[in-house]
Order: sequence, then C-alpha cells, then structure tokens
Amino acid sequence: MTRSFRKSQSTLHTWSGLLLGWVLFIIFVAGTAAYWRDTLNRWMRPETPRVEQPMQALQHAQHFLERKAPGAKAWFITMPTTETPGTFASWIPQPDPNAPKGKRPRRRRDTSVLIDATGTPVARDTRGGDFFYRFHFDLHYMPILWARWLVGVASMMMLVAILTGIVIHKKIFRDFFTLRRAKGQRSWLDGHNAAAVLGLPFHLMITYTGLVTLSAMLMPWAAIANYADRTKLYASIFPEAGDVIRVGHDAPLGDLSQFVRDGERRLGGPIGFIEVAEPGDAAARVIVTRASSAGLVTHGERIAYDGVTGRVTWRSPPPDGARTTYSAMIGVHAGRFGDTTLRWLYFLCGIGGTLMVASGLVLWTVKRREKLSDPTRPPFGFHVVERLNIAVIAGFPFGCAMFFWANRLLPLAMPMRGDREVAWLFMAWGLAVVLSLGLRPRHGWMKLLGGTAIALFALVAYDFVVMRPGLGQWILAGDWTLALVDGVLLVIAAALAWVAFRVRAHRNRPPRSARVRAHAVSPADEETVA
Amino acid sequence: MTAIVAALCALAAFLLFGFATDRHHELRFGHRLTRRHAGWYRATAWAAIAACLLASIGAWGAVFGPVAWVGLIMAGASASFLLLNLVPEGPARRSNHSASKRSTNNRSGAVIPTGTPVCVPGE
Amino acid sequence: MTIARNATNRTTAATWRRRGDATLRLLAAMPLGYAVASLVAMALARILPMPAATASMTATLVAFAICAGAAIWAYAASSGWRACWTLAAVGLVAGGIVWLSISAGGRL
Repeated sequence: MTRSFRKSQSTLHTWSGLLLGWVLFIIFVAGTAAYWRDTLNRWMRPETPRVEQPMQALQHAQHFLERKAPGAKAWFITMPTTETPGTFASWIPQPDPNAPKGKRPRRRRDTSVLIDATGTPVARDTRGGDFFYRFHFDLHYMPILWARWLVGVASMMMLVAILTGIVIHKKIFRDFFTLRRAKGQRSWLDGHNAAAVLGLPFHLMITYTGLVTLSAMLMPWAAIANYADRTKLYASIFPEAGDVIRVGHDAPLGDLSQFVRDGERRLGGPIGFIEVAEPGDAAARVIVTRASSAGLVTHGERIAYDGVTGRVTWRSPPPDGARTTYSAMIGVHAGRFGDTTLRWLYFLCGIGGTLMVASGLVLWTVKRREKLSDPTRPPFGFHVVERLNIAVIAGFPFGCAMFFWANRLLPLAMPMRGDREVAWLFMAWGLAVVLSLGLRPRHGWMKLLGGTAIALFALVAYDFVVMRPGLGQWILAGDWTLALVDGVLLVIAAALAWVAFRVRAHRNRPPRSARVRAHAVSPADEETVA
Repeated sequence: MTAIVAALCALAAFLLFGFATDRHHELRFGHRLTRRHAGWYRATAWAAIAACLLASIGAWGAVFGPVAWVGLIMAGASASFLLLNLVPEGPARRSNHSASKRSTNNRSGAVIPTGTPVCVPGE
Repeated sequence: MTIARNATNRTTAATWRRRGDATLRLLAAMPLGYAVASLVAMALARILPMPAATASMTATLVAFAICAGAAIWAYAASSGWRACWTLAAVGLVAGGIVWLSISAGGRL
C-alpha cells in the first residue's frame, strides 16, 4: 500500500467522517436507545400495570375498540406482550362522502390509542421509546423525506469512513490491544481505533443494513430498471390479500384471541400484528401477521380469516429471494429477533459505535490543536468543529435527560403532552447549544456533561424516592427489565461524571514544537496514522 | 449454560491473543514470550473462537447462533481489551516491569519516566 | 521585483490547480459516484440471470458498495481528472447496457 494512497484515504476518512459526524452521533444515540424501545415504552408509562396475560389483554382491547370504533373501516392492532405496556391500536374511520376534498387529514392521535392490560386507555400521553426509534431515521421538526435523505447520505459517508478507516489503519492486528494513556492525540487515536475495531462487524453491518432499509428511496434505480410500475415489485415483495368490500349488514366479529391462537399454530410462531377490515360487518376479514421477533425475517407470514366464521381465506405466499434478503437485512439491523442476551450485545455494540463517532470528532480537534501555529487564534473551521462537538456530543444527551424529566414531571392532563415532552428535549438541547457557544470549551464540556450526570442521578433518585410505583416497587416485584433502565442510567451518569472530572483536571498539552524541544521523541512513539 | 460457555470461550480467546503480544505479556508476567510459545497461545485462541461458534450454535440454533457468535466475539475482544489495559499491575510486577524497562536496550534512547505506568506502543 | 511577481503568479496557479483537483475529486465521489452506482445497478438488474425482483434487490445491495468504492477511487486516483473520466466511462458502458436491454426487452 503506497504512502500516497494511504494519505488520500486518510483525507477521505477525515472528511467523510467529519462533515456529517454530528448527524451520525445523534443517529447512533437514538438508535442505540431504540434497542430498548418496548422497555422504554413501559418505563415512560410507569403506572401502567404489567401485561401478564397477553391474550386477555387482547380481548380487553377488542372490547374497547368495539365500543370506541364499532363501524370503522379498519382496525390495526399490535399484539400485546409481556414486554409492552399494552395494546397499541389504531383505526381508520369510514370515509365520509360529505367531507370536502383536500380536507386536512385527521390527526393520528384521534384515531389511535394505547390500551393497558385491564382494558383502559393509558392516561399518560408520551412517545416513549418509540420516539428514539423514529428519531433515528425520521429526525424531528423536518419533513420525513428530507430527514431520510440526510440520514441516508450520512450513512453512506459513514460506510466510506469505515472502509477507509480499515484501509488506513496500519498494524490493525499488531496494535489490537494498544491503549496509550495520557498521551493526548495518541490516546484519543487509540480510543477511537479501539471503539471502531472491537465492534467492526457490528459497525459495518449496521451501516450497510441501514442503507438497505432506506434503499427504496436512496437507490430505486435497479427496481425502476426492471419495473415500469414499481407497485408490481412491491406486490411481489409484500403480497396483499386484496380489498374488502363492505356488505352493509351487521355480523359479530369473532374473538380475536382465537384467531391469534390459530395463527400461531399454523405459522409456528407468535403473532405480532392484527388487521381487521370492516369489523362488525358480515364481510369482515381478520389478517394475523407473524411477529418480527419470531425470526430473522421481519416481514412475517400472514394469514387471512373470514372475520365472522373463522375460515381461512388467504395465506401469504412463501417469500422469494428478494423478500427474504430484504427482510433479513432489516431484521439483523433492528435485532428484534434477539433474546435478552442478544439485545444487550446489540446495545453494547451501539454504545461502541456512539463512542467511535464521538471520539473521532474529538480526535479531530485534539490533533489540530497540537498542530496549531498559534494556539490562541485557531482558524475558524477549528472553532466550528470544537463548538459543534460540545453542542452535539454533550448537548444531545443533556436534551435526552431532560426528555426523561419531562416524562416524569409534566402533568398527565396536559394537552399534547407527548409532543410537549419532545419539545422539552429540544429546548434543553437548544440551551446546551447556547452554552456551548458562550462558555469556553473546557467549561462547556464540564458543565454540560456534569449537568447531564446530575440530571440522570437525580432522575434515578426520583424514581426511587418519589415516584409510585417506582424503582423500589419494580425491584420488589422482580420487574428487572424496568429496574435495569434506572441501572443503566446510573452507569451512564457515572461515566459522564467521570469524563466531566477528567475534563476539569485536564490541561492542554503544549503544541508539538514545544514538546519536541523538551523530550527526544522516539520514532516508535509516532502515531500509527499519518 | 451453553451460552455462558460460549461467552467464556470468546473472552479466553482474546485474553490469549492479548497475552501473545510482547507488550502485555511482559507487563503482566515480567518476561517476553518466545516465538514458538506465542504461536501456541494464538493457536489455542483460534481454537477457542471455533469452540465459541459451536457453543453459540448450540445455545441459539443454526440461524441466530452465528449472529450471537459475532456478538460474543466482539464482547470478548472488548472485555479483554479493557481488562488488559485498565486492570492495574500489582506492585511487585510494577517494580519488576520498571527494572526491565531500565535495563532494556531502548532502541532510540528516548527518555521514558520510570515508575509511571506507561504503555509503550508495540513494534 | 519581476522575479518576485513571477513567483507569486506560480504559487497562485498551483493553488488553483490544487483546488481544481480537489473539486474534481469531490464531484467524482458525489454526484458522479452516485450516478455510476445507479447505472451499474440498473445494468446488473437487467442482466443478472435471476427473477426480476431478486435481480433488482441484488443489484441494489451491490450499488451501495459501488457508491462507496467510487468515493474511495475518487481519492485514490492519481488525479481528479482521471477519477472523473474513468468513472464516467464505467457509467457510459453501464448506461449503454441498460439502454440496449430495455430497448430489447422492455420493463415489467
């Protein structure tokens, strides 16, 4: 490998990693949190009773929907499990022939509900863990299309950064266990290398599969080359059972839990999703879909039943190569198939990826600072990167901590409570941005990291001391899933506090030229990357 | 149970890889390995990685087993990395190490402060 | 003084050459890299010997790797021009295959 090739790839690595690195950081933070989506959905609705009997919960949900939306065009029900706070259900009302065309679409919250295990709608309006899941590809406060393009481009730059990173990493095996401490840029480099190399299979997989999940938008051309009408392609990949025509005379809908039991038997795995078309009508149809947790392939097999008689009317055809590949890629990205151990491994890898991106961004400033000809007047680009680092790497976690606090403190009866919680996240993040611009960098890091640590410590204390049911009740009841959320937040708080203390103790190293005069630097001490 | 065995195999594999390197072996045991012994360490480490794959398939099945294996490999590598680098050496070993550092023929004559735990980069 | 002015002109010319090279590489990586990856994906989707849906899916998967590869090539090539014309040549060949294939066979 020639020196100029390595140098060119080093330039590419730096730029492709740096330009959208801050976007990648928040994608990684949100995506890593999203592995605990269901758990956070429960944790952010602490008064919701645990679902002990999913089938019973489903029956309660059906009774609720029959009271609330009896003549709807369709119901969509996410099957409750012991991991979820209850049954997520939404419906489409019958189209109103008198409504003027182009009327503003009904708000999603008017036609969706979360029904707890006892059959009552959950009082606390919150986005829960679903916020992090959607945020990591839809972002927020921007049209979804723009957000996904930004995320897509950032992911492609991430892929380039990973590949070039492998190429430029000299002695990747020899220096596998290297960690030089208290050596400024070289320590940051070793840390960045460690976070990257130790989780390399995951980082490559998550980036590539992430691109694949957005491929319909990012790279539709291969589909367009073969299909003049892309709906034909989607029909072959996601086969549908066809439309249901309403007959107009009433007939009672069968017990959904019976359909689910039958579906589980026929499909050989748990059911994740139920669609009911024209409930209460004689032409009602129930489709059950196999859960994405059942296997690597996320787009599960489906069976359609006559809603009144219970007869099987349609079954999705066995998947072809395209569907299996696409679904498996999304499956391995989302990791829904995993048991607890696999879920934890995914989570730890996600943290590794977050540290990789963060250490890379900081490494850029550490390296440039050591090379500055005049440390008191760095170039404008340096200022931008330094301040953005603080604003995003310290600011976004601060925003997330405030998001959790808003979840605990905002009054239950508040209108649009879920949106208000998210607004708190962004207001706190905005405050962090202001601090990162106004304070000197060292103080910006200290205050924001320390502030986040204090906020998280206080949150766990609140969960234990004030909130009922709280952390104590969860531990006593053996609900470790929820108790561990506070446990993980404690660990994160401790880690952030440690970093804040290290920043406080840190004194900038004198620039390279001064150090070279002070010590004879050995060639063996040189960094492994130019 | 098999899952725990798989995890331990992964951890053992990377600890062996780590101790096969001169730097970490010298740091903990006070002397460098011969080429041949380092080769044995690495061979055993590779065997442990293979055992981890078999145990993972045993614990999680043919489809999820390989996925879990990759995850455990990464976890074992990370745990070894942290253990090898962050667990402080004992006082006896530290003086042993400093003694060997003072006596080692330093190729470039660099000034390395003795007594401070410094991880010198590998060759 | 004449000598000094010539030296300044030469330095400016070198700076512009360097900026031009950097710009060409950036253009080669993106959008040219994306265009080439898309065209190669279309060509693969047409010529791979598998059912249409599977061919399209496979080609899409490969396309992301090509996009990354194009970016790497854009910076590894010996000059910005070389990066651009080599990628453009690949794109033209792929585009030709797509055009011929669609003219002959049509689309679903």
